[in-house]
Amino acid sequence: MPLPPNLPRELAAIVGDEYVVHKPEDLIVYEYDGSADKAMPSIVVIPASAEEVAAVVRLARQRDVPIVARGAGTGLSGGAVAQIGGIVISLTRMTRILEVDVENRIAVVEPGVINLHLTEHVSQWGLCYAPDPSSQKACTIGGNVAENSGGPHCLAYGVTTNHVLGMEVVMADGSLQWVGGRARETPGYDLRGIIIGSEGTLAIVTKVIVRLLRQPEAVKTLLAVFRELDQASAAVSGIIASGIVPAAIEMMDALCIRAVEPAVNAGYPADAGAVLLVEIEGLAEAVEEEVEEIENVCNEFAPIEIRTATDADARERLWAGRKGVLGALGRLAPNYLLVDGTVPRTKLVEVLRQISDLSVSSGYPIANLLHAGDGNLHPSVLFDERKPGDTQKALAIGGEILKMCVDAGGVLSGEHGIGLEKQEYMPFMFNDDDMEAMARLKPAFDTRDMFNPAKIFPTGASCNEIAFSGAIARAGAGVWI
Amino acid sequence: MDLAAPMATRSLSPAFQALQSAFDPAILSAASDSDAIDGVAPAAIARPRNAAELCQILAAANENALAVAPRGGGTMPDLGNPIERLDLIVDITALNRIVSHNAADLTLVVEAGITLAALRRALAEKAQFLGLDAPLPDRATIGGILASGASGPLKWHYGSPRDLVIGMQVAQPDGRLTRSGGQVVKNVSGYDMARLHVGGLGTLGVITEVSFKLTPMPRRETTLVAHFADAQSCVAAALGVFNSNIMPLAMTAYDSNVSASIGSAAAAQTLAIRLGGRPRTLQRLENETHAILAKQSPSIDKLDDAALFWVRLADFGYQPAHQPHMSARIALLPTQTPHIADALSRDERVAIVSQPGYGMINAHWFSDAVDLADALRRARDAVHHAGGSLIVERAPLSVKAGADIWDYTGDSLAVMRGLKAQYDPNRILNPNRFAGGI
Repeated sequence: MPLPPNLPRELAAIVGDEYVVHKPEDLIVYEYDGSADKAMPSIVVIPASAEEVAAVVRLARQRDVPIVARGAGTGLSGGAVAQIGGIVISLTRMTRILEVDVENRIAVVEPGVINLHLTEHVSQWGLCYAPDPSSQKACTIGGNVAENSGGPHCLAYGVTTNHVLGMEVVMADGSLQWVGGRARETPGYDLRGIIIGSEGTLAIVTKVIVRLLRQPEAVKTLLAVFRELDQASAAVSGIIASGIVPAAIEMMDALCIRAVEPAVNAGYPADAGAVLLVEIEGLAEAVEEEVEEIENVCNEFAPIEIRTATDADARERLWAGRKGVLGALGRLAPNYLLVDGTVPRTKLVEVLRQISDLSVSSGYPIANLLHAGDGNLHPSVLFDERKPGDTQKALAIGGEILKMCVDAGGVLSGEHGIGLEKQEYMPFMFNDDDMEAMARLKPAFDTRDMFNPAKIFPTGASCNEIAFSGAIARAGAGVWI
Repeated sequence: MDLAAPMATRSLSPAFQALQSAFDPAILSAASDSDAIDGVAPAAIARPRNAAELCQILAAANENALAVAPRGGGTMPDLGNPIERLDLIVDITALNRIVSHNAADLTLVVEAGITLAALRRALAEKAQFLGLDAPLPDRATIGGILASGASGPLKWHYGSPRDLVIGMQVAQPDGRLTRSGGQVVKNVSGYDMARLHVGGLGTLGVITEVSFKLTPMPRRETTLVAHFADAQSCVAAALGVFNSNIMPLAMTAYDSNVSASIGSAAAAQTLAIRLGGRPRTLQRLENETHAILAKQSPSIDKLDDAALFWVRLADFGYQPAHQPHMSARIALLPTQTPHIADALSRDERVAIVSQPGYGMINAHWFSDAVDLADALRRARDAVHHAGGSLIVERAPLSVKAGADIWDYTGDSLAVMRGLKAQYDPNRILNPNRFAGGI
């Protein structure tokens, strides 16, 4: 998109010359996020303060240029991609932890603070920040707010919206406003709650007040290996039904195991059909009592073996296989399409069977990785983009899987967001009235549709046309979901 | 008393006549004086039997610019600024079905008019639990509880009611029925529209159906009730629990006015702690809580069946038979809560119930001998000084008219008004009752 000629100079006057990026070779790194969606921003600015963000927004408004806010760019639905060009505001210089109120277990942070850094910083007081997206070593709190991120442990602790008390935001008119606050409840409409998860379309977050939790007294990890996927799924249902809410229940299927075992030597038996990883946290007594019950439930489904670990290193070894899966999928195929959907937990067996049937009928292997406790599936469709038509076929399979999820009473996205990747699938879940009601939020916040335009809602393109916006992972080793 | 006369006069309005002719008398009937809100009597009450009928009524009201107040159990009728105009009350209590309870999934979908008590009974049969409480559960409806922002002591452990909602269906003022969220516990598909309606006092739409995530019922429970000779020791005990590894299901402090009323032993301050878990866990929780409390030398009662105790405590200040003249809902940081609770309860005409772990105080003024407007000002000054906010839940109209009910001091009124303009452009839903005269 062509920019007003003076814009780079005007932006430089706000943030400083060295924090304006406009040479094509420098802009390339801002073309992507963690999805395969791709669009070149016209210009990138890297402000140092809320006031600078506000000034950039006011200028953009005067010049009628759209804005996309961006954290670390680890998102998996194209939320940080400047689809129609314009200004990308990168918040990665705003990385200060401004305050930790240890007594009230609250922290005030800038949006560019990396998720894991926050938890590491507050650990000196025995506290932690609960949402732990798999990208937590890189992703930012601001990005987590935009996508309402979860993580393996959100089964017990909930997602970002359950842990953010208030935020300072820049509105589309360039004003700085506080929504929510330090107390658990604040008067007025819950603008905080509506902005969280709005994928950067309603406001730009410049400060975040988060709730911290006390670190759990005890943690125990249990790994159970089953011959069949159905047995593992049934064990998940059994655990939930027994009245236990573990911190995490993760699952992977035979194809994942086949990929990861040679890479990580996790020690999974050759005949393993599924691995279940369960983490329990809390009071020592509660952990012991619940692990006993979970072992009993797992034993009902003839596990090949069960291992448990309590100390951090041993637990990390149990997690190693799980965390290595995505990186190892490259051993099986040149590319994979990572799908994200959620189904009611009781439908896991049924939907996994449908996915397995789809894999057989289509001829494309599908590896299943799941945050099973939440019913959140991550099937990965394996393909080879060098084969003509293979990419389109994989994307079509991804669409079919999402349809299966919705038909089973589930949803289009458990944790990656709609962004660009799934906007055309929204009608699977919502009718025109539903979407129209959602769309009416936008003008109440952003009358000129300046923030992250052309996201979330269908544009009218057919599913084939959006083919290349699918999340075709180029993720390397070390990445995990 | 002849109620028909004033109603007949009101029903002469052509707009209302149009409505009357369009609806079955079983759905639309004359209102009585007791239906008045802030002294404004509506012309009629609509009692839709399902969401479709509710939508038809709203659409008709919208077309005819009739002002509508949605009503659940009517347990918090005084909340909000004085209503600007009122033609029709839409009573949602006939929308009281459990749409689906998927016990193995720990999810529940209910119509908004179901009472909290009915919902709890249904869940208890499956040993499940919705971590939400509110005053008068036999009357209070789920829609009303969510819209009014009512809650109780369970929210410290289980989270605010808004965090338990995973999906919602809402009737828009133009009569369209729209959905958001879903029936799964993890979902980022589209805007989280339910956020607008929880605490929104029905000013942007009428909640018709709600999906919740549930939790298993605690295997066993016990409640420790500690009676303290003075406020300081109660404050110290509450902070002691807050700073320990003990995570109670609920922790509520109350003063002598409250204990006298709910039949609890006389004490300057009382701290009630509800604990739950499997046997060994519960034993540990109980031992440690006891040890923390004992440092302040209270007398401690142990209640193994405390269900009635907690219901009485939740109802305090909301029972029609024992209603305060003024009530306030105060939100604060946890560490400030016991101090402000203590400061407020020094006035013996005020009864205080607080949730020190969560940061919430419910204050009830039982005398109109005091200048309530002045009492409100002073309480609010203290709360603001501590960084909190105070919402007036109930007050005489004379006090309400001159007071800031919602205590909204932020900068986002323009956005909130923008939301109202988007979703209820004709201002038919509870006009003026919300913050900023929305």
